[in-house]
Parts: sequence; C-alpha cells; structure tokens
Amino acid sequence: MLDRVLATRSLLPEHDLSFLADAPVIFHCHHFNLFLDQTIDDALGVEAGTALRTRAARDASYHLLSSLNRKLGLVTPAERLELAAALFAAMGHGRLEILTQATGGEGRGTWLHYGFAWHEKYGQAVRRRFPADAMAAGFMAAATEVAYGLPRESMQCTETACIAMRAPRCEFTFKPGKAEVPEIDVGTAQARAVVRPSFTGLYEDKIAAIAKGLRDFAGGVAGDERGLVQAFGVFVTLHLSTYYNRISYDAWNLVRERSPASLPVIEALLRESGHVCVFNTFGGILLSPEWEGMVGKIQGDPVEIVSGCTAIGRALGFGHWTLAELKPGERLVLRTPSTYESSYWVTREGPAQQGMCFFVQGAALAFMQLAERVPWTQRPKLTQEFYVELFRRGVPWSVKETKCIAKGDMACEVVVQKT
Amino acid sequence: MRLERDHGCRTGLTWRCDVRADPPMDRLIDAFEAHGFTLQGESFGVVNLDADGDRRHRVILVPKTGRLQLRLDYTTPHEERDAEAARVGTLLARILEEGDALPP
Amino acid sequence: MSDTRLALGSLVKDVGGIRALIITVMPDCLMFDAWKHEQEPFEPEEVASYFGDLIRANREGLRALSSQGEDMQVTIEAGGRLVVLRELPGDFVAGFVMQKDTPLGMVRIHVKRILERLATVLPSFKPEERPKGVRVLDYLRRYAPDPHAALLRVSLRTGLPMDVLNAPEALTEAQANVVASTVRDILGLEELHV
Ligand SMILES: [Zn+2]
Repeated sequence: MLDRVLATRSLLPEHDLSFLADAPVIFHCHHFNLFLDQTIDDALGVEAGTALRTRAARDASYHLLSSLNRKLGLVTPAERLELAAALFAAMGHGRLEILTQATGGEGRGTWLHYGFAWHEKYGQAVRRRFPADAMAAGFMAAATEVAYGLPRESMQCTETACIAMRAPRCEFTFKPGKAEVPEIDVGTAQARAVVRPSFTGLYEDKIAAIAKGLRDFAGGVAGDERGLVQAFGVFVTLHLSTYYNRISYDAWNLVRERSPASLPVIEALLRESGHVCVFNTFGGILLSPEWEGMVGKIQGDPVEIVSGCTAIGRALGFGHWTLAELKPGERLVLRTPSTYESSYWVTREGPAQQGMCFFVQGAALAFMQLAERVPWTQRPKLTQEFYVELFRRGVPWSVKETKCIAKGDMACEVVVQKT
Repeated sequence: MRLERDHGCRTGLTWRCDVRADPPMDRLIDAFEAHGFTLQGESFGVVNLDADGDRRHRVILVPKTGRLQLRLDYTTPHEERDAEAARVGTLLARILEEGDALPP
Repeated sequence: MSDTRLALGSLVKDVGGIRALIITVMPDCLMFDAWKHEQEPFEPEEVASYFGDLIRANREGLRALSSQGEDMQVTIEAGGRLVVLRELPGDFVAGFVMQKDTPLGMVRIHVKRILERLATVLPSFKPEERPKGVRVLDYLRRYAPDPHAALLRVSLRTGLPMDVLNAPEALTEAQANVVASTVRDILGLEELHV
C-alpha cells in the first residue's frame, strides 16, 4: 500500500516543490515544528492557538487524504482509516489508532512527533500544561471526514491527554460539528500558476548535483516501526506546507487586525523558526556521516557551507533556491522563482504589500551564521547552548526580503548583509 | 579507541570515533556480524549496521574518511545514554580490532 | 585576581581543591564578587544567579516542610564538582565550587574559616531591591528554554512593545504584573518566586 502512496509523489523539478498526491509536502525538523507552533500560541493564546493549529491540520490533511483516496480508489471507511494511520507513520508523525465513526469517537497516539519531540527538547526544563499534538488531532479529524464521506471541516477533535504533559500516551476525542466553509486547496495546479520562470545562480552545477543526491537519499527514507523518521541523525517529518502556511498567515492576519504594533514581533518569531530550523537541521545534515559519505568531509569554507545549504533547501522541497551573490563575511543574496510560502499566500490571500516568505528570510540569515560563526573543522556540536551563545554575542547580520512573488515580483529575493 | 559525543539533534544519542580510512570492509563487516550486528545497506558512501536486541542502536560508517558514528536508539532514556554508549563502545573497540580497522 | 571587591583571591589562596568562590547578593541574585580559577570557563555572573535561585528554592522547600533553620547549607555533588552554598549575614550567599575529590572534612574547615573572614569584610548595607519587572525578566532569561527569543515571546503575548520591555525598570506595576504572569505561563510554573 505504501508503495502505491509513494508513487503519487511528484515534483515541479525546476522549482523544487514536492507533492504527495496533490498536497504540497516538505521535510521539516522538530526544532522548526515546535517553535512555529509555539509562536502561534504566543500570538493567539493557547486556546485559540490550539484551535487554529487543529483546524489547519484538518484542512491540509483533508486535501492530502481525499486526493490520495481518489488516486488509489479506496472505498470502505476501514481501508481509508487504515491508510491514514499508515501514512501518518510513514511521514514520521508517529503511530495512530483512529477509532472513529461518522458520529465521532476516540483516537490514540504513541510516539507522536510533536508531543515526543517537545518532551525530549523542553520537558526537563519546562512543565507543559496543554497538549502538543494539534497536527495529529486535525489529521484524524480529516481522516474521519474522508473515511465516512462527512462534510469537510466538520469533525471536531480535542486532545485530552498528551505525552508532552507526561501522560503515557496521547488520547483524543471526536465529535461532529458545524462544517466550516473550506478554503481553496493549494495543490499542484495552484503552485504551478504561482511560480515564476526558473533560473540558475552561482555554483549551480554543484548545488544541483548535491540536491539530486540528497533527494534520492530522502526518497528512501520513511518512518520506522514507531512512526518516526530519523535521517542524517535528525528527526524529520514529511509535513504538509499548507499546515505551516495557514497557521503562520492566519496568526499574522489576526495580529495585524488586533494589535498591529506587534506585527514586527510575530514576523521576527516566524523568521526565528526558519533560523532555528536551518541552524539545527541543515547544520546537522552538514555534520552527519551521510553528508561526509555522499559529498565529502566539511572543510568549513563559506562557499561550501552556503552552497551546501542551498542544495539542502532544494532537496527538502523549500523551493528552487539559488545564490545570486555571495561575498563571504559580507553579503548573501538568495533568489528563488518558487517558495512554498508564496504559493500559498498568492493562492489564498491575494497580492501582498510586503515580502511574506518569513521562513526563507530566517533561513538565509542562518546560512551566514553557519558559514561565518561555526568552527567547522573542530568537530563542533550545534547544541542548544552554542545556539543561545551565538545570540548572546549579538547577530551581526541583517536580513530583508527585497523582492517577493507574493507582491508581484518575478522572484523572491532575500538579502543578508553584515551590520 | 575513544568514543566521544558527536553532534546530534537530541542529547547524548550520537557518538563518534575514528577508524582506519578505507578499512578492509569484508573483514570488518564480518566482525560486526559476529558480534550481533546486521548489515542494513551500503549506499551513498555510507555503511549502515544495526545492533540486535530490544534497542536498535545503529552504526554508520564512512569507509572513505574513516568516520564511525554510533546512533543510540532514541528510546534510550536520557539518564542511561552515557552508560549505554560506553557499553557499546567497549564492544565496538573489540569489533574494530578484530576487523583490523583501528586507526594507525 | 587580587583586585576583587572583597579580595577573595587572598581568602582562597591556601585552599586546596577550590575552583571558584562566588558571592551573590539577594534577593536579586546578582553577583557581588567572585574569584575563579583561571582555567574555569564559566561566567561567574550567570552562576551567581543560579546559586541565588537555589538558596531561595531551598528556603521555600524548607518552609513547605515547616523546618526552617538558621544556618542552611546546600551541598551539590555532580560532574566532578562539589558545590557548597551558604547564607551570609546581610542577604549574601557564598558559593564554594570545589573539586569533587576534595576531602569533605577539609571542605568543611575551609568553608567555616572563609565564612568567618567574609563576615568581617562584607558590607552591612541593605542592598536595594531592583524593580519587579527587572527581576522577572532576569529570571526569564535564566530559565527560558530559548532565552534569545524569550523577550519577543513576552512582547507578542502581552502586546508590550520591545522597547518597553527593553527598559524593564520603567514598567508600571500593572505592566510588571502582566509580564510576571506571562513569564509564569512561558515557564509552566504555578508560582514565580523572584
Ligand atoms: Zn517571497
């Protein structure tokens, strides 16, 4: 069955955007996942934040599961629910038992990515007082809607126990509710309509070759028996970018309406989620034995690091990142005819007044931090302490998205400059 | 042979040591298998071996550069990781010696 | 380092196995003075605050046990070190960082001797307590899991602009209370003792 699922994967090759069935997917690490969810809760409060995250997960998962069922021709509720649980695990999100009927029911989760990763990363320092697995909740709600042919956006789900709150496993309850008006799906056709004509940049041959190797490698990666994916020593999820985009932009819109003075603050935190992701995950990939075997031992040259990171971004499905300019120690210009953020923004929100690709902004900043501030040849460990120390010493770079497809430009362009 | 902490995204799960660059791979893999490891695959310039047992620790070897990484099973509790790494490290030292893969 | 405020260097000169002596002033948990072995990499300011927090937490714990004593001593053995914390008159805390293999009897003798000498040189003024906002945000910086982003999180949660939070001494009482409850939420605490 999973083979048939994997066969529905597709790629816009010149734009490095990936799809499963029709739903846009990207690889992301727990650092990013946790930080982004936290930012949403900071912006809206825990209750409204959890509600938005659950709704976004249901929205994105419905798109994935319904188009997948169509492609695979699955008919009975049982086989549809079985597929959903197997898929969730294969994507690295953990193990689910979906025990629902059309009238609601229950669900259980073990090794759920969010709850487990939160517990691992923060559990010793902070006591969590609310559940962490909105993604699983929304996913199971959508799976139930799809399995029983219920109206889209109608199944409600609450996580009642969570491993992040030191429960032995995660538990969920479901009940049908009033259907919300569905938003337009951001699928392959929509992405194709938003991306700009592709182009290349500096060190293109090298970047393209590494990206291809990484993508082949990632293609063979799937969840283990607990439903977690470990690649390059990093725990990753194959995730639905509509989830990320919807929570980010709905929160951004709400902040703009309610407290516009806080807009720069949420933007800084959205950027930080990109920064923490690139620093840890891209950094972890560069330091992994897999990278050493595939590409070679890291020498620590800024060009090597930045072009390596650019290739990683492509392989993970973030877009066709290219290097327009790179002056080590001074300046980086990252340019791309596609980002997963702009595909969503243009499709669902219309034209923007400013650069909206906060992830790319934070990522580009992190490229320069990795290139200039990590002692690569001394077997560095990119620990939480090292990360915090970098900020304590001040970030000597500024970042600005000077062009953005979301505001009508022919590319997204992020400039990182030494301050 | 000394096992030291390697970079890893979760605390205390990844460890590394140096082995001889371009070791005699057949002999080395035999030594691993003799001590309860199973070869999972060789591709993209790395060799993956999994330990038998309840906990599936993994060894990743880069023959070209002589780097060995031990990835403890992520279910290993925090407080047991150092001791578990030390235990596997002792075993690895024997395997590397039998496989003629200790660094010069 | 003979030029510290309390000339700690000369106090510890003959103490075998000592790695650092840190004097924290309460209730703000600020470093008052410190001596450390030149090969110790840590920042005494940072350690001083944690030592202060530890003493406070122990006081709270003892209060909960209804067993408050006058001369509380906190001893920690971990990671090749032995840490002894003692309260001093005038709201000071002395933190001795020793090598773990130092015989306990010796440690006790040294601690006693140094405490006696410190008691004669410590100033008797009552340090002024810093404003609540300053103390709360300091605490957050010490304990937030992502300290570099912690202030942004407080700003987003409270709606207080960053330039207001960057001058915590000027927070109004109402603002300081809002910040305190936000910090409590971020850290997942029932109560915030600062
Ligand atoms: Zn953009």
